[in-house]
Amino acid sequence: MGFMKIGALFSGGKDSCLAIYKAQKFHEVACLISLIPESEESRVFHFPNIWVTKFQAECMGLPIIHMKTSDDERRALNDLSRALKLAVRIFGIEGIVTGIIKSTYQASRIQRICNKLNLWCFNPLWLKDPKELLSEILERNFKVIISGVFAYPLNERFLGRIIDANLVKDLLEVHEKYGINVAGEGGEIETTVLDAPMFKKRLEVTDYEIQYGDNSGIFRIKGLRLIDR
Amino acid sequence: MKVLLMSLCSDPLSDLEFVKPVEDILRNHGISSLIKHYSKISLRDLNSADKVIICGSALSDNAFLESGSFEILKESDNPILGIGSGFHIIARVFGCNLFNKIRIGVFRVRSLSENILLDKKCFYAYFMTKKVAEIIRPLKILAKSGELGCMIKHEHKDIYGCLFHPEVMNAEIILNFVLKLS
Repeated sequence: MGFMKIGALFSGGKDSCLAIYKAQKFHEVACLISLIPESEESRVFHFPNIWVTKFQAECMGLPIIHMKTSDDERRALNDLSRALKLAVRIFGIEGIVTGIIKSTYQASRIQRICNKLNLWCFNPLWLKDPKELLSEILERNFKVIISGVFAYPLNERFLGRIIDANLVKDLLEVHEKYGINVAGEGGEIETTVLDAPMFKKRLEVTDYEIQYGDNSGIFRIKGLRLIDR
Repeated sequence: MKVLLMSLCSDPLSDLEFVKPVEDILRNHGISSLIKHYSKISLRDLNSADKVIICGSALSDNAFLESGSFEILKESDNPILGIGSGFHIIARVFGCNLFNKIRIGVFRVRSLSENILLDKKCFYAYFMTKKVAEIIRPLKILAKSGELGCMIKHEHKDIYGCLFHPEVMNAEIILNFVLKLS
């Protein structure tokens, strides 16, 4: 298989960014595709700070398709299908890349849509060990903050922290004691990427708000600036 | 122990999805493996490995069915396990017809007979396939999902096929194949 144009399903978190980084070694990532759920209850797509994806796209020098999507699963999948058709029409993509790691729920639904649209589907992080994933994030100099916590005992002290060796150590302790997935793919943790090897500019948070209660919280980014590297 | 992982992927990005997870399962149990693309595998490679696992490939990837020749699998006496697309290869090499049928997601599987790779009567497995096979001798069906033969074995050789992806929900199948078969 030769070089092809692909679209990236993009949440703005570490997994979709790492997937793009890996895909760019073999293909041209021609656009990003972000679905914006109507509420935080969506099971399919990530939510906190999804508006930041527009600025992350600018950092990567890539166009982005933003499409609002329903909380209803069936309608949400139709919305994804519409977004992919749009990406095919505008950017000529022949496939997509996702940052899915372990969710057969997400993977099977996206595979079915790609199959219907005759698109290749790449999941380069599939079944990747969570510790290995975090190590790779550190090794490749991704700058990632925790932008959401949704499981006990993760609390407000994690919100806004940069993923570094100390945070990884803390997460591993939580994993050993409470069995929480350190990569957060079960929805325990949401992340936002501020810088990555494929970014031409980096992001700096200039304003934020922390909302926390009942064992869940969000680091809501309210202001950003783009900085030349 | 030398385990050869045969990649069927025409796109190296897919190796991360279909070959590396199998490699990781083995490595986590202290078993090293060698990855080689099907187009570069000879009978000598097959015979010098203790076990051969033919890994899966992307749904859109049919290049191996169009251009690959896998007749050398018949000549090897070593244990072989085909996963996903690897199941298609084993079925085709032993004369089974492949036909189009989509099965994507988690489905219930029931064992039909004793199976050294998995000691369970019923289990759930992750499928991602566009093709299934009509199983004929010398292959026999070990397990079915609905009416679909999804685990197969050669009547006389240690050649197995899993239409589903055991690396996702049934890693013990891979480990039993590597560790239990002589």
